[in-house]
Amino acid sequence: MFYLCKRLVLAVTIIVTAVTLLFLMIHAVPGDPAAILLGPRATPEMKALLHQEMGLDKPFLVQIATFFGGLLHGDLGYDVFSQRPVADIVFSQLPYTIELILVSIFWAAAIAVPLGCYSAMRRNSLLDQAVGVIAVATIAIPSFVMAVYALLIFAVALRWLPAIGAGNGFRDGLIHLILPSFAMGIGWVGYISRLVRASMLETLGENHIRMARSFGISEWRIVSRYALPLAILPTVTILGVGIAWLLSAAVFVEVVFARPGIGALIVQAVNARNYPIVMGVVVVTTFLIVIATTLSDLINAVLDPRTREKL
Amino acid sequence: MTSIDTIGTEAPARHNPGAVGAFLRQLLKNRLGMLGAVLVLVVVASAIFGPLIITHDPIRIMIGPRLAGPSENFLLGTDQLGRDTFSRTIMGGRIPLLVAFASLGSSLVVGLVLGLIAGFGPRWLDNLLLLFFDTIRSFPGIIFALAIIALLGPSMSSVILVIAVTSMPIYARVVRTQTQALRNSDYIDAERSMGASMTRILAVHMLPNVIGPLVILVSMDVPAVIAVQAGLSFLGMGVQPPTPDWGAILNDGYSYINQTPWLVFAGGIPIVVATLGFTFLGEALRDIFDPKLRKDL
Amino acid sequence: MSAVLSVEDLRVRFRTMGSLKALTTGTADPFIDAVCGVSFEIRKGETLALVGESGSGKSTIARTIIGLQPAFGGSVSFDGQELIGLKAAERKSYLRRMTMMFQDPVGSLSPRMTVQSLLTEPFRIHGVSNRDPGAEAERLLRMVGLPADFGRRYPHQLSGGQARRVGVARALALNPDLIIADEPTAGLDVSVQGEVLNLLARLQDELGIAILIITHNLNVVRHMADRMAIMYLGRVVEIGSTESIFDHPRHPYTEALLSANPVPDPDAVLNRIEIKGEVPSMLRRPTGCEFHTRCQYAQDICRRVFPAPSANPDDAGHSFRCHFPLQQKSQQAADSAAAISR
Repeated sequence: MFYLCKRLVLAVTIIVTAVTLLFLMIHAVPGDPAAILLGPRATPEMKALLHQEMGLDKPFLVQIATFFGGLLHGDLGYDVFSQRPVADIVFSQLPYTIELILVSIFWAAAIAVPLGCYSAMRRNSLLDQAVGVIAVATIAIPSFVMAVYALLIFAVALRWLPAIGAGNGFRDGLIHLILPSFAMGIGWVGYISRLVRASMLETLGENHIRMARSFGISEWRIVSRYALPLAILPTVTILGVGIAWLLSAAVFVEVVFARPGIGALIVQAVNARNYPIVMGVVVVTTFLIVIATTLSDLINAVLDPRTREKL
Repeated sequence: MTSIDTIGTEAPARHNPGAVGAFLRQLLKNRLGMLGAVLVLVVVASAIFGPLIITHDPIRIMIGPRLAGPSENFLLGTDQLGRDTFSRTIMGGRIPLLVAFASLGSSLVVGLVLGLIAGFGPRWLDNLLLLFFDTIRSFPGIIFALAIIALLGPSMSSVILVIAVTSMPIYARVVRTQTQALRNSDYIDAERSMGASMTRILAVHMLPNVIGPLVILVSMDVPAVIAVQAGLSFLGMGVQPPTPDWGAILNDGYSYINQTPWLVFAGGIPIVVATLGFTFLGEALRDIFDPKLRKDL
Repeated sequence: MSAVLSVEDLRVRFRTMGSLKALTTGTADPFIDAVCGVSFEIRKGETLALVGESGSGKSTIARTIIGLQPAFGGSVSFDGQELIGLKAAERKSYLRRMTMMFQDPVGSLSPRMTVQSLLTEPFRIHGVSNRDPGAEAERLLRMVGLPADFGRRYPHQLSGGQARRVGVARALALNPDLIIADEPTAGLDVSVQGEVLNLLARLQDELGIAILIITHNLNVVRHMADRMAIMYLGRVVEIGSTESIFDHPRHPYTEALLSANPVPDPDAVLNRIEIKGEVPSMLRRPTGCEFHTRCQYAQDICRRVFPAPSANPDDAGHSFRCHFPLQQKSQQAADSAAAISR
């Protein structure tokens, strides 16, 4: 209970610190966001007006207080170009990214978990060693390179799958997800299978498993019924840390496959120097990451009480 | 769990003259490590000796036809501005290696110093630094990098800064745990009991025991940094044209993917070779020097 | 003889939890008193042993004297100079004259230094640069009976006994007046233990150094110490000459401790006085005399009143804190004491 409170306080502190740091950075940078936004031909009147609109004419503390105040009821400010609330824009794009991440992780796990189990059972077999090498390789290759090659081979050269967009309707949408989720998930196949293998080996060495084995229960049954549930939980918590990686990969994959999503959104916003949107995306994704890491820490704490002391 | 806390506390490095030879022998036994070493050697050598290898000026436009395939004159064809792709690819490795070296180097130094301070300093400072590390770690990778680059403007130094800042917290945390483990060890107590100053303890007795595992950790981050650098260039947020750079070449290839696959190969394959090479080499280094080191912090 | 070191009413407190946690869990006092009003002195060239079970606060006292642990109250004075409250720079000059040897013989040597650098570390720390490090290291190695070529070795290449000798040599490097030896025989083979103790005794004779030995090994005490202090839960419960205490322990805890000591004599009659129960936690100090929870002679007053120190009428240097000191030797204690001295 004490740990839970402490961890939640930490999460909130991190979010507050993060937002403050972001604000400080924007202010520490030389140059006037409004001037950059408007381009070289802006008149002083236009700049002053925009300043007022963005609240940049107020003192720093007032600005940050206003931002935190807005944050409390989900207000991230207004996009100066379209005059729409930033929160609306970000949250209209977020589902596409979440969908992409979930599909990628799901298919990667669906392949990786059995692979990891097999590797653990047939340790040092040819397949185990091959999986080991391929895992390291696929983790190392950047997702955008993977994405461009997938696009080149399956969409441009073979013309099997659509190249760009998110598609219309469920079936079309799913087909449009194949290449992007392949590019994003392939590295995770290696990663998850290694993790499952490692924690499976650890679990298989424990006493209750040896006991089950001595009763003559079949190896597959031991793995699937007794060891897997124990072995897979530590893997779940990895996703807490992994969410940052997945979001980064999503940026590239969305750009390459011209999909909607917050990755594509921030790239557009950065190119247009649209600071409110950039800030909005960073704040929302930081929130996501803090929530995910907090959850995974809490799950870890339930699974392994020793980690509680580490905080 | 063998966590990062136990790194390097048990086996002190043997300072014998045969250490380098022993290391090479072990590397030779590790096939993937050897492959990695060879790939890294190729990448580094072509970046260093690039000017001797290239066949054309990599930034001169309209040297040949636009988007041509490989020929005797243009080994990997030409890009959309009629520049020689082979020369651009060879020279394109300089920026990623430079960025990796500069960003990880500065990140190592800053992480080392902050980690030592957090691990050895007063409790409140430790907590403050930890909060700072955790905050930076909860910024969303590339998205955060893009935001910073939006503020600073796209350039190589922005990329170096962003990578240095975001990779530092992990190093600092490793150094911190390590320092804390050592700080209560008998030999540090013994030094303090003799009246050794804080700086002496940190520099002479802590640093050599902390830096080994840290260098391995940093070397294992080289492929990730190359990937981030190439990724930012791919998005047009890295080094600006006409400087040759793998990520930028890949982006050109992506833009003209319907006309020619050659640019995609010329930009993408070197990135894969470099990341794989450094990954295999890094894993081998870790296995040889510090089998217990795990990056699950 | 004048006192080299005198410790007066020393108190050391540890924080057991953060103040936030103390507040949320309703703990009124998040501190424990690891050392609770300890007084003793060591005269020039004398050996005093601090004896007690693990957790009795004896190592904490050593760490506080040397300055690794801040004191909560009381006084530690070295050669008449108060050390508590000194800044690190002011304390430094006293750390030339007072050195400490730590428990783990190998672990207390910086792992990436050669024996020679380890031995000359005190010279560098204290800026004594007018000596040749090689010659100094050789002199020190010879002093503790190690060959000169050990100077090139690293700690991990030393056995426990060799590392302990290096530790002794380093402690002696700057000709101190006092050595604090925390469990000097811990982790060593019995034969090596003897060698190390003989070495210490010989060097003490030659150099006239005072030694404070922290140990739970009564054979070490018997072998080395002129006087001994017995600690229980951060307090000294009995102090006096080694002879007088082994001969006639007055505190029931001392009696039990002495009777529990394994005697290296197969003919010895084993008549152990069992101490019942566990050592109480410092978090929940018993009221009155802290030993009453385990004392077979405990009366009502022991539970209420903390006993004042009383002196042995025959020996003024022998004092103890007990309401009902043992009047004459109990039979068991006599047996085991006799067995030890045999």
